[in-house]
Amino acid sequence: MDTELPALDSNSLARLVVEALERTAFVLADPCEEPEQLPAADTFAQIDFTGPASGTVELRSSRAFARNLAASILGADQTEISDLQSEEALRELANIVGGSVITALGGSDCRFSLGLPRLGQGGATGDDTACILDAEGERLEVHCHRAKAA
Amino acid sequence: MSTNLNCHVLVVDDSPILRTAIKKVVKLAGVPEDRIFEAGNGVEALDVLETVWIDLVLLDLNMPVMDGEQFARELRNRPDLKDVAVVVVSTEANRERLERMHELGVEHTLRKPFEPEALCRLISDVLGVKPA
Repeated sequence: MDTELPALDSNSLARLVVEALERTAFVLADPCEEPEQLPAADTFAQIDFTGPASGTVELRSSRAFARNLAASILGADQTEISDLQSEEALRELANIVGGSVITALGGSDCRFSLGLPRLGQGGATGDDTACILDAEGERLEVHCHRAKAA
Repeated sequence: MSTNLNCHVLVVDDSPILRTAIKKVVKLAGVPEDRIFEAGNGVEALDVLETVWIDLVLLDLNMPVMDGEQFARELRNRPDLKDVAVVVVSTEANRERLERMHELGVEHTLRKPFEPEALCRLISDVLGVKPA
């Protein structure tokens, strides 16, 4: 049964994502004031959560962001990174951000569970908290969709 | 860290890119590269354990085919493998699930995202080795 999620505003979501990026890949990012200046999102990954409430955390990024992320995680040059590795990196970031989101929502008595991360097409729906980050000149959007109660 | 640890470590995670990243940290902790093994799920991990002596398993929980909890349960049911040290390295936050892992003898959990130094320290602690 869906219940009210604890508050997770855009600033809190952005902080979680920035920390995940720094710890996982040493990639620096900041909330973006002028997102129209950033490259468009064309790579998508998402992960579902269930528990006291259900929903989806969705990442939308530019291809170059995903490539930078993979290169940073692997300690490799961007030219050595395949599309598959780029997508894999974004999928893993969705997993990590999803874990941070349910921890923020559930606290020390967390009863949320995560599904498996997957690539998507964008456009998951539901009540939405979102942030847009400038990650070293590339776009990373994170949306937390809460499923509508039946 | 430059200590050469005389041990074998198995990294179990369904993400190839994370396995690679974790293996690099394990190497930084002092484990020689040829003593670091990897598996993409619990079934593959059991296959490795049947062929190589492993001192420490770094275990993700949310995986396809056989997840980390199923793997740990299987491990504890096998007399020859039940004492292998396991550290959970996962995004898992569900309290009940982490308690079930604790009941299976998994005492250490490292939540993703983690800092590489934290994993290095944990490896040293679990294996009873002081970092150089």
